[in-house]
Amino acid sequence: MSDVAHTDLAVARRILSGDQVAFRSLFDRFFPRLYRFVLARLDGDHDAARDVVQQTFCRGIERLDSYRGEAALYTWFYQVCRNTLLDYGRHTRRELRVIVRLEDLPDVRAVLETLAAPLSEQPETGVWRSEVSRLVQATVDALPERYGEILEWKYVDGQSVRHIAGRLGVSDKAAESLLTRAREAFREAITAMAGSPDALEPPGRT
Amino acid sequence: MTSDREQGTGGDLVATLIRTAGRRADPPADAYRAVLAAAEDTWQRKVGRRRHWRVGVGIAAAFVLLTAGAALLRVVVLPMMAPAEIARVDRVGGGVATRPAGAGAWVPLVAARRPLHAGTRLRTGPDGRVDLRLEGGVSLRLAVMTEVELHAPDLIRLQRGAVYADTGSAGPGGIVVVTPAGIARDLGTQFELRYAGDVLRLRVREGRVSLQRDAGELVAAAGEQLTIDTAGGVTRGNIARDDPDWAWAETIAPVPDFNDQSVAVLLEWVARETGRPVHYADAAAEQRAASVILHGRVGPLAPLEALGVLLSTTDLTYEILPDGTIEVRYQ
Repeated sequence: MSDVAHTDLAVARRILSGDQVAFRSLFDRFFPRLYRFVLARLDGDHDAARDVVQQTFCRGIERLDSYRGEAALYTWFYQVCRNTLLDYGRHTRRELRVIVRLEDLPDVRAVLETLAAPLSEQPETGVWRSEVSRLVQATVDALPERYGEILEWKYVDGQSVRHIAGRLGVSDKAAESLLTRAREAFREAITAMAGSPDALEPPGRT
Repeated sequence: MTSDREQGTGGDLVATLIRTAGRRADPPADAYRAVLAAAEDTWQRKVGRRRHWRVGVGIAAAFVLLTAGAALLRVVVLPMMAPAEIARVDRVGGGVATRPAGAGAWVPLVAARRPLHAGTRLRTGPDGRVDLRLEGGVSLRLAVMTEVELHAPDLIRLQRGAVYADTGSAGPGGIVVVTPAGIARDLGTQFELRYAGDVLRLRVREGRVSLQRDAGELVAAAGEQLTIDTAGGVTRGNIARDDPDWAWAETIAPVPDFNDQSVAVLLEWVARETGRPVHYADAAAEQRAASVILHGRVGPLAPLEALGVLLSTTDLTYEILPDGTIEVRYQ
């Protein structure tokens, strides 16, 4: 059992024992990621996304006793969410926008190949931005929670490593190390999807 | 020093991609509140069940094994087999639609006595009203332009519009109504909860109701009205038990079977549904009401209509006094 899973098992036990702080912390950490995950697969239908995520939490909490710490707790909830989403698609006969395993899906690979094509063959830049944004954000969401936050603080908000260290309450060196690991994790994840991050280079940059 | 320099060109691309994508969007606040309310309620029930289970261990191990088996069956096995029936349609009028759990389309609800299962949604139109008899005995009535989702016999999610709950003999804790703005728990009561335009209004006709919000818990007693505005501000007011605003709930009230029941039973029901006290003009009237037995069945009438129809077959009459009291006389 990894350290993360070991910690998460303790969190699950605290939640089951009635610890309000542990429950609320888990909800606040998981809700946005699961919501975005579901929303992307329901073509932006917020009502449906809310229903699926709500059912995910209710199911997950009801079955939390069965969590044994084999994987991170988020991964466990993510699986509950996927199953709930599939059930929803089955019951409603709704075609879900499946981008769960991006690298395995021919249609997604086709999108990425299109993105990697020469500028003359590119769709409009707006489409590129929208598709890449969606894929990049999905990748960031799939990273360990802290990694996603650090990457956004650094590259979206433009915060310095020192400032990030202050937010995390760690040394500059530790923040630097976390940032490096976050970047590597992102690179690995995006490479798994696109073959190479260069495939996502903006049109006109090649 | 930054990692960008250490990562070289490839690192720049990571930065470019994340910068281009921008910050991930936060889910809507109303979705957050609604899901949190439902998840929290499920969690509290889960914790409550586990605590009860632990107490049981200390009392009798064998009993606990049976309890745990039953809980497992209820929580894990049964939900996998089929959604549980949690309510029946008692009365329906006007345009009402239902959507079973997992179904994509709304279908008109036209017949009473129909079973409803966990996850079912109900929606009333501009002229639609419906009364549900929840497992456990609670009467749940939906006003016009209302949408609810039935989670469990004692757990309802109100998405918009108004519901009226009469826990009757179900006792305290008969129902919890979840809205994005707060969670109402009855403490043995009749109450109305309305959620519209992000404003939550609670009116208590009898008993007490607890309203839990992010900002803490409020309790409203009989005759009180609480309004929570979009900024979370609380306004307290009053509403009489026989205020005309309760009338919509009376029009869809479940009508008991009065066949072979005394007039006194009928009067007790009318008093509860209308919020009007019953006064007997004299001892003879009271004795007569207790001894006269009604025969036959009354249709889906409002309480005062039913009273008029049924009393006309007896030698008792009634009059509504200026203070709202129903006075019964023996001719």
